[in-house]
Amino acid sequence: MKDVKTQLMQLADLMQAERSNMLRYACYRLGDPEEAADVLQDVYISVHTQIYNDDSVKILNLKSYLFRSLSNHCIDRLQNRSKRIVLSIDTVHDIADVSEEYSEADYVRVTKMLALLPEEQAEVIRLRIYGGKSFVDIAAILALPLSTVKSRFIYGLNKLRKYMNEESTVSHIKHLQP
Amino acid sequence: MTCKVFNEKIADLFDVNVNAQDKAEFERHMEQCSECRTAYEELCAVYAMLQPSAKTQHELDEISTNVTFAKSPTKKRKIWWAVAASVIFLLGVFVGLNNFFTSSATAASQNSIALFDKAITYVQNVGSFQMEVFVRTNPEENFFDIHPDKDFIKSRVQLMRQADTVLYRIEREVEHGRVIVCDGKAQYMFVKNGTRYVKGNLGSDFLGMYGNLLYPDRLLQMQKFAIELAGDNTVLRSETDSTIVVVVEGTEWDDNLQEIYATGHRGRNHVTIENVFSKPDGLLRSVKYWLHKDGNKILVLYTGAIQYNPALSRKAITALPDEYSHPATEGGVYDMTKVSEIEDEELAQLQKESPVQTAARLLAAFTSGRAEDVKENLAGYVGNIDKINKRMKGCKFRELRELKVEDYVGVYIVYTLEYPDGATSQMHLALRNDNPRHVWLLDGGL
Repeated sequence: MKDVKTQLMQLADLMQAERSNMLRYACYRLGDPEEAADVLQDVYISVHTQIYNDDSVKILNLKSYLFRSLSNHCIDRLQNRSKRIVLSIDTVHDIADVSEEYSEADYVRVTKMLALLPEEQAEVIRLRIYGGKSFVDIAAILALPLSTVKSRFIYGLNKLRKYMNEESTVSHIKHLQP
Repeated sequence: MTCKVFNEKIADLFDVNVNAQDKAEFERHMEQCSECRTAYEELCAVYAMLQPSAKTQHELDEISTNVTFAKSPTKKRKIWWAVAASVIFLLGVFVGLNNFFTSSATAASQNSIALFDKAITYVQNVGSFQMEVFVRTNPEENFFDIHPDKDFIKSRVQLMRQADTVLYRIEREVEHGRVIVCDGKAQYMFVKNGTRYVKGNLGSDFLGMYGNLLYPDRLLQMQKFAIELAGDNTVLRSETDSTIVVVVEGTEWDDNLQEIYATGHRGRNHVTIENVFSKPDGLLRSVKYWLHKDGNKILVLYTGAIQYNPALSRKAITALPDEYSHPATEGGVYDMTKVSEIEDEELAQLQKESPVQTAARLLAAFTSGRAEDVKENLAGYVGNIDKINKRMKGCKFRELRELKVEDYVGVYIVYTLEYPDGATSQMHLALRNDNPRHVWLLDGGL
């Protein structure tokens, strides 16, 4: 039980220390600050209850675990969001206009840019830039070799650079610029 | 450094900490190799584009300072409204109990937790209890809503345990107030002095927030978990010669559907809950519940003295209205645990429908004045076909959207209803398919 208490205290400290990085990561993942703050609470609660309910659980690298959990929670939210269906009944009844609920321009801009990349490259970039994680941390979070993490990061940036340089995509990228 | 090594290691320049010696080597290489410098500069340009804008970063910083995870003794915490959402789940409180307590306390202590533990054990072991509950709400309202601007309505709550079964009766003491009865096998809901009732199984969510009052152990458990999960905090606690008063302050979920439609999120309410325990036996004796609204602290619910182990009569608790014959329901009873006979082919068709499709079909029937065509989905509303037709004929509906709300076993279908005069309003239908035939049945909203 003492171990559990220690782990719970570490968890709270770590959440506190990492909150700004986690929040920024979640914001750029979800595009909505309020929802991002909710996700942080969800992550805290789920890890907390996991430790609290099962004292045999020993999380070796809590920091990596938190970010992994954060990433999973964001994915769940995004999936749930897409499950909110809007259907037209027939032509008589208008289809609901689902305007972009979270129109925070900056989040949309980044989300659109990262959508041009394979998800595994986008995730490394998100964790590095918005999560504020070092490549070593990211390797631990994603359980990947360090060299793979670095190459995914550079591949991702290079791909975006190419898009920017290509004539056909100039206008597309232009309106993404801040 | 060669170009090959430069390209292999270039990611290091974008790491959190860059080794000064490595950086110098990169610089030296770039002084000699314009191609590598250009490549690096282009990567920097992309990297810069991906950075949060100053405005966003500023906003995030502001939000971030309000997100807290541990008790800070000098600073008032942002309340942990998410804690109890998960606490409720942990406790397996699944029947739409209006999440009375969803937050941590501003302060908590081991003493208070021990007190809760003791009170929970005692409450779980009592054979019966009864109390009067006063809630600000509409007299004929169900047991879900609190309306801070209304007068207090009195209800009587009685519960008794017999072997493994729990029997209860909750009765609003007003003329057309609702009554809920559980005889250990099923639940019944009816209007006082009425002649018909709705029958549901034990899991049916008839109780609303009263579920928390009916099982005071659950009420205490939630508060205890909220305090515990908030860390080593203390709740406000005071004692007299005969009582111990524990006040928990926090934030609760607000299941206001209108707000959920509008924002997609549940709102939150700041609340204060006062629990009075009697000193010699540690039993919970009364509860008071305040809502903080627009700078005011409004008492919205309080209980009279909770009596433990009073002599209660099983017969009185489980008394139901006389059955009343209605052509559309068997003996005047709408039994949610059963579904009327439907042809197999038709049934298969109904089972295939999504809730949105069912809602669209129902609304199409209602607005063309033909509610009788969809009576297989009308469940308890089958007796109201004429009323539905009268109210909705000639209206138009649009923008159907499915909304899953935690704690409700079915789904809500939100839609916009346009009246013949052009006025519109945001409405919903509640549909559930937790019946043996898995057909979406109308469960509310009209």
